[in-house]
Amino acid sequence: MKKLSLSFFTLFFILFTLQGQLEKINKALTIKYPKVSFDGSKMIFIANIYGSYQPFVSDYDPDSAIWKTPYPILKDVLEGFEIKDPQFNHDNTKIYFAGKTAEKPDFDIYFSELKDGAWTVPDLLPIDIHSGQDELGPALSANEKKMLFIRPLPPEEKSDEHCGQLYYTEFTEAGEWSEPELLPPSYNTGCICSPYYSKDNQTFYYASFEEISDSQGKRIAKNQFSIMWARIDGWFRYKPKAITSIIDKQDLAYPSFANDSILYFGAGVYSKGENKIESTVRSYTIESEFRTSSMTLLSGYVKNENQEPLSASIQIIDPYTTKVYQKVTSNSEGYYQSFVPANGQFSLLASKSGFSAQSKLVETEKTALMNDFELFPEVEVTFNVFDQEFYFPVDNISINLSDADFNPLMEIELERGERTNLKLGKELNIIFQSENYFPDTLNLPFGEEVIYDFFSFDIELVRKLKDVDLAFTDSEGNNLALEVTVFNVTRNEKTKRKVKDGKINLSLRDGEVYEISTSAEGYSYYSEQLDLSDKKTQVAIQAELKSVKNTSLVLNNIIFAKNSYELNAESYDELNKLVDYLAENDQYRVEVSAHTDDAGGETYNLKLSNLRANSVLEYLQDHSVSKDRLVSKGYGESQPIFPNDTDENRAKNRRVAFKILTD
Amino acid sequence: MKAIITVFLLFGSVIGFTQISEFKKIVSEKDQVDKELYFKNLQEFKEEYVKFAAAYFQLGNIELDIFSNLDPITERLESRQRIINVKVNYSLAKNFLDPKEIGRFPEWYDLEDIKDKDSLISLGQDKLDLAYSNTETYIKEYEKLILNYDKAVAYYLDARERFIEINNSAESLRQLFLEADEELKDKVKEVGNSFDSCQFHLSIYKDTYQLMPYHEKREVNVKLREIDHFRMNGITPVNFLADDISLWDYGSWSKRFLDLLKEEVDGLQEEIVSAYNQFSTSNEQMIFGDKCMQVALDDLKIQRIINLISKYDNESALADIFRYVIAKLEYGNQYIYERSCNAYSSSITDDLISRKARVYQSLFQKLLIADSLNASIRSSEENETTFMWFFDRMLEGPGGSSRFAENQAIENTNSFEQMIRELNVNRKNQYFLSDSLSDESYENQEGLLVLSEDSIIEKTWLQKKLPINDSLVLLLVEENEKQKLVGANPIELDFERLWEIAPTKNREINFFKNVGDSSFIVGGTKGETWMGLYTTSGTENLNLSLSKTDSIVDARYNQLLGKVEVLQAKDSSCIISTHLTTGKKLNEIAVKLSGAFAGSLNQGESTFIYSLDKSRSILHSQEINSDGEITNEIAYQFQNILVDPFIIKNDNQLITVIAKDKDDEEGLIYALLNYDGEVRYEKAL
Repeated sequence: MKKLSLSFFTLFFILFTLQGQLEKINKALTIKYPKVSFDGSKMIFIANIYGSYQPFVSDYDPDSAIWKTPYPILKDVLEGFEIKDPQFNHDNTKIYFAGKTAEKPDFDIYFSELKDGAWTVPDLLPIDIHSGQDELGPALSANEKKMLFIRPLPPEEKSDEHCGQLYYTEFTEAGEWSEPELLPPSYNTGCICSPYYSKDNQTFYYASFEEISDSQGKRIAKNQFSIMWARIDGWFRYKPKAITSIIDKQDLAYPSFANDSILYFGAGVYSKGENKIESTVRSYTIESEFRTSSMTLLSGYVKNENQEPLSASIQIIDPYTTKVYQKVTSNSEGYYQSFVPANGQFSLLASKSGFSAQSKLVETEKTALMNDFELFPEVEVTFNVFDQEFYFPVDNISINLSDADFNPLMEIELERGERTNLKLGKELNIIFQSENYFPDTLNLPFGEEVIYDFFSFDIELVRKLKDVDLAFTDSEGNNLALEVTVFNVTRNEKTKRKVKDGKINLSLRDGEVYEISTSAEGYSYYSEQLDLSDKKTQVAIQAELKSVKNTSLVLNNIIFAKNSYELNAESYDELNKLVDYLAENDQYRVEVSAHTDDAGGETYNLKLSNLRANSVLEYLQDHSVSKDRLVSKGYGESQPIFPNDTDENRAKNRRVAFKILTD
Repeated sequence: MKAIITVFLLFGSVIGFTQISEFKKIVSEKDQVDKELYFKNLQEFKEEYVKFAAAYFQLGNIELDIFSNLDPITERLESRQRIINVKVNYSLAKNFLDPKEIGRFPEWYDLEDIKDKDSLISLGQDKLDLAYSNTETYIKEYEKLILNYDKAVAYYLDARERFIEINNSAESLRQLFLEADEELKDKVKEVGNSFDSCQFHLSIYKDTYQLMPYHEKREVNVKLREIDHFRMNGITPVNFLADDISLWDYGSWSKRFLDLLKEEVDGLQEEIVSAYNQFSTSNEQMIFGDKCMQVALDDLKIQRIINLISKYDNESALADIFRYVIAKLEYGNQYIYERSCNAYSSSITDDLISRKARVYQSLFQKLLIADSLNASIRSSEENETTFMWFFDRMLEGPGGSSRFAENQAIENTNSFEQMIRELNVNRKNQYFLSDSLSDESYENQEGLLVLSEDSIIEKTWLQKKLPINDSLVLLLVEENEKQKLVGANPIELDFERLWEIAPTKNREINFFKNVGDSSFIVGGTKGETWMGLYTTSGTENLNLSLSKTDSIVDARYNQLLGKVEVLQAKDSSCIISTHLTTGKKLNEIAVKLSGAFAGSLNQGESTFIYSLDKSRSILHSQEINSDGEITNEIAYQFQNILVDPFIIKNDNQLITVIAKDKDDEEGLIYALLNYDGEVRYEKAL
């Protein structure tokens, strides 16, 4: 009773689908070799519509769940061909089939390709399997790395053109197809036809003409075709099993799947000698033990930077073994699709000559997964060239492009922050040079994968340094311990360095201007400007610091107008040094003195010198030196340092000096 | 029955003999046939004779050999089955082993025959035990190897995916640094953690791999590739099955990133806040305080901040702010020093006015630098995207840099204006020109001038008062409609009369100028023009009538040379007369002016006369040498219209002009001129 109800249910289901989903296909009634594409969107079959057998395709409408009215396919390219067993590849851009022509009267395996919207003239499948015998029923796996096909049974066996023995070949790691292997007797149990590789690349189905018994040993199929399930998973080979639940009195063949569970097949009557089973198409939700492994439809678009479609290669790689699971090519619309095992990780690498390569890691958790790529032929880059020490942008950069072996390619000129385009596909070395800096090189591995179309590179150039030796002694040649102020005039940067034994070596930035100043306890100040952009600049300085205790030191370049105590502006530089000196030595009290030559009256000169000394004092006072630390005194002509006998000596006697007060 | 037993025994020995001879044959062909055939022969033998230990031993060996030739990673399904097969075969071999068989057929157990059969048997048993025990180890280690390999790859893939996700979030590393938050830090840490886990498992895989009996082993050398360039490196996938596994070093990248973030970005953030707060406090004290102080300028620290900011964003508005901060602090220091430490002495002289003009010139130059940097801030408002936290936290959000700059510009201008206004007031005091000096009545009471509140009995007016020092105030008073200049000692609100200068005849006092610490010039015009040079003790050093009646507009006293120079002007003419303190007139020069008299100064041997034309935006300069000849005439074109200009000599290079603003009653125009007709700077305050 249970079996009866199952059979009834099966029959009901089959009838239902026959009348429903497949009605428009089955109108032809003389259908051969129906096969659903891997993605379940198309069914290809041979039908006798207008008196001859031609391939047709019906598209599946997922909204209405109906197979639509079939339309002919390959019509323009099959002249002279007799074809059998057509099959779409994984993305419906190829049709494989067994065909023969008058010139080649045995069946071989051909394929036609969809290019620019049209199917190409069939070509022999470039696999070394074609013999003088018929090769029929090509069943390529979805990853196009495995194939089953049929060759005739040995002559002593009863056979016809319709069925034969099952052969297997696979694409090896060596990059070749293996020698076709006649599958062992456990597979070749009868006369076999219409193999079909499911999209998991392991499970396959075929029709076998043999006797089938059920689990109780009762014969349920006799002298008829039944559909078998089998699997080859690497080293493991699973013995075929008959899908007994669909066996009825008709011959069943042409298995294929629309998804993981719905089996489509042809049911009809095998007319021995007529080499065909003219059938109608049926579908059946198959028991789990016969289903394929769960697969994910991985698809997407490859586009360029302008969102135009690109025909690119997409390698689907097992990231754990780095084995290429499948290599697919996006079509003219940039679309690609493939089937990969569900619940796995895959690395997708899209590439196209002259474009960037991109990889993405995907996890196939769902039945369908979309993943788009955008490849670009060149990238935008900016180079931010900085001073490595101070981070300021370096100008006047020479940027030279060279190849991987540093053969010069071109020089580019860029403003700061300006973007430029660099072509991808080859490794580049970029050399950055600027005066007074060491050159730097940036290696751009543009031959490798590049997933971004913009890069901002920071280049830090190292300034060349110039060694400057400084030595500080007193008037007796003793080395002085002191602190040197190194003021970078170019960069307005001030640093201080301690000098223990009077000698110091400074590594100063080439091409810049420095002011070296120092003073030691009890000594006068020293200051000198070093222009390192001038190649002649002396790089060894020997400075003698004069003692300021009980000694007046003459200030240079303090200028007054004749008969005036008004300071000329030209005096400010020297006075500013004294200001700095007093700021850094705030323990000192200072006497500012002024002296005249002997021209003019003594009283006048005394008055003039007093006023001049006071002017200097006021200058210091106006520049943050407390008045309490300052004393001014005019000595008139009373303290000449040279005889007032020449203009030169008189000029030397007209002077302003300062003295540290020690009280 | 016995016969039956005998037959069975005989049958048994025939079977045993057949087994042995068949197996001998198979083993003897071991080296002649290929391995697959040998394996097949053994399989077929085993299926027929299921309890033949040596067959299992040999099958175990072959299975182990096959296992050892497989790739444990890419052929893991078969590997797993093969090693189990090895174990099953060795197990069955142990199970069915007849030790004597080892002694009889040592070659079946891959042993050399020796005489000592017991030792041979023991050797054989040990060999089988060892093979079995090794296989158990291999099974265990194989699972460990696969587990750790898979984990190593999975962790690496995880690290790479996380790394790419981070790379996707910013166009440059600097941008990433600047936008770094706790979430990003966590993400970066996770990259490092995943990479560390990868290395941990890879290390176990490597060690385990070496324990396995593979014939051809990979070297499993792990090499780390440094990630130098953001978004360029660390992207390409890795082949874990290569001899040299070249891993992108996400671990070092993660560590370096976090270290740098902590050291530079977090550290920088603290430094920025601290420096800015310090600036705000110092600025407040410098600009609005009255304490004589100087802020220690830590230029290096601020410069370091600027450098670090520039490293991340060279165009950041924040870098401009700190560049400005340095300039402002320098301005502020001089400003507070000048205002609170170097205030005006009570005696306003030409020398003091010049000194102050020089100081303000220097202050103004600092202000110009600050203003120029301030302008940079305003032009870089769009560059607030980096260091956004600063603008949010310290400057009240977007547009904060502009608000800061605008406020600072107003503050700077106001502070400088205050200085210039003070200078202007002081120069007026020098000339007794301040309107607000006095407007009080007093009673003359025996040597005292007593301020009176009773306006009805007013007889005497106090017109002007100029403090010279604590004990001397000069007062211009009017008594009985006659003017007097009184030197007085201030006693609370009243004044003790010390001396007085009362012009004789019918003269008026309408010119006064303090010309030295202890000298002043007084003059006037009523009918005739007179002038006198007095000391602050009331002594008259010079008193003379001038030849022309034009009003005195300026006078200078050169104490060094004992010369008085008097300038009289009327309409477009000017007379300069020079007199010795002895009363001797040295010369008198008449100059035709190009406009209204505006001022004069001496520079070197020359006297410069300035006049303002009708447009009041062109200032003419006429240079007159010591012989009274005009040697040069030039004009300065101003942007603004000058009202009541005041010309101050700074030094031999620059001249200051302060004028009222025509359009703004309260406003002032400040300008610096050189001697060559160029207005170097002009600013409306």
